[in-house]
Amino acid sequence: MTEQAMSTASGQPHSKGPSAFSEWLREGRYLGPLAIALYLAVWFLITEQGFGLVPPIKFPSPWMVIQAAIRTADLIPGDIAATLLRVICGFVVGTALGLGLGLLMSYSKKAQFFFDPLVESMRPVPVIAMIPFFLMWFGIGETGKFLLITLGVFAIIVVSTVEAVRNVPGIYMKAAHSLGANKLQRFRTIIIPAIVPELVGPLRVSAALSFTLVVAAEFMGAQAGLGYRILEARRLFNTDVILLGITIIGLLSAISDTAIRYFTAYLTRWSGRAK
Amino acid sequence: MPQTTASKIAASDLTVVFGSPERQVTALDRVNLSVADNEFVCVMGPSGCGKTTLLNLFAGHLAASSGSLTVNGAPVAGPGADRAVVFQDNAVFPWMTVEDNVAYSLRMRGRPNAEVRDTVDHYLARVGLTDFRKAWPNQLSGGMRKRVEIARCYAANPEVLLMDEPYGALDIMTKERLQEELRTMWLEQPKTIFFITHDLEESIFLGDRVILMSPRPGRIAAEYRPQLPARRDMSIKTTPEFVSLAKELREALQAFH
Repeated sequence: MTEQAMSTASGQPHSKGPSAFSEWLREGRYLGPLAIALYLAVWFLITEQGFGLVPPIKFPSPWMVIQAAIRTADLIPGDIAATLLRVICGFVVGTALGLGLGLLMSYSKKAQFFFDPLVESMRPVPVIAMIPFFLMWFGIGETGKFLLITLGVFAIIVVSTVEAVRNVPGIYMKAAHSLGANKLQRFRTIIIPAIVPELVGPLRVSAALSFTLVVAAEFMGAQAGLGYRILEARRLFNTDVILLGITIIGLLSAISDTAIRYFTAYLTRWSGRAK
Repeated sequence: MPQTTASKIAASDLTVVFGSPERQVTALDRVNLSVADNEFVCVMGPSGCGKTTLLNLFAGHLAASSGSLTVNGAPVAGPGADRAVVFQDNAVFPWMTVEDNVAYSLRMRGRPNAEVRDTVDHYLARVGLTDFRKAWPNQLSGGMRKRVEIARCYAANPEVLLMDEPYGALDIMTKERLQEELRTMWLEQPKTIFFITHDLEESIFLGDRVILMSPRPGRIAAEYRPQLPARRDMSIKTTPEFVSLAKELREALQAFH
């Protein structure tokens, strides 16, 4: 066989050795770190220790944020743990329920007819509008916060799943059918793997939404958490702690996004899609 | 040449009408056709002659408006593992490795692992893809993906192979090599093959019988039996028999326009 010059999936040559650095320069991968360094530099220059263009109470300097971090070192780890736990539980359960119902609605026409009006009428309502009810029903405990995130994630994932199933090319289903796969087998071996690439975007969006919702939930009342810490700091005009909280939420969100990207890149390693 | 006995798939007075009651298109008009067991039949015709419709009927992906359609004497009711389809577009599952694709039908039927492994080994070797068993289909060329599909269909051990212009999208060199491979594979392991194509040389090279269809409405216009040796390679394309049949078919095709 001669036509074996191929391999588009692993097509990117991984240059190791002396050319790696020039590759890094040429591809422009340095632009990411450079952008972060520039952003930090501007932040430093316009605040207290730089040219002092903005009053520290309105916009604290990097140095003040670092000091705030040292000052609150005994509280922040607990806040991070509380917030992360809520986000992870809500995201995982919301994703599981959304996937489950989305797949059920795709599998059975009757399930689709039954659930479609419910899902479609619930979806446009911002889940944040439910907060007063959740406070009434569940108080300021964990249940309401968990349900808020779960509901927000669920709404995105259920619709994305139904749409992703619709986009599965019919030829794969026909081929599986003619190879003797029954309906359940076709669902398990064709539909489920085929929708994974389409769910990467919705998963990333709902992870980011989880962080938004957890802060909103913690604003409504909590014993710990980054949103709660920010609200407490606002009460005392500790703007350095507010900015510290915001920075940590941003970092956590970026880390979870990276984790999702690596995980889904592994699941879709067959597709040859760009990382 | 493989033994040809009873009729494997048959159509009688098959008519298919598409469209709304006001604007009807007759895709197939009273088609009568019978393919013998282990016969290699090519259906050739210009686009719009209903040849793919005919294949979809046998595959069970489509229902006829009137007339009857049988496989092994029993009416066709939906797709089945007794009839494997090779499509023109790529139908290799991209999320499965080459070997998992070939193993697919056996796994779906819950065959024991040892049998799955032996069958996969056999057909991968048969199509020359043993070294690529762990590869993802995305890493293969179009011709190699077609080989995976042929191996996958053969591993399913169907009674009938329905092939819908499978090599239509390939370059001429790859196409001819795959034609030789398919012909050899069929000689070694006979199956009833129903092969749709619009390439007249392909139909003569592959088929023991060539059915010519005319367009709008789709009808069987003529039948040819190429008098060529059972074992064929591309050199037969220059033999007088091949050349004169190609000329005859070309003239018949031109008569449709």
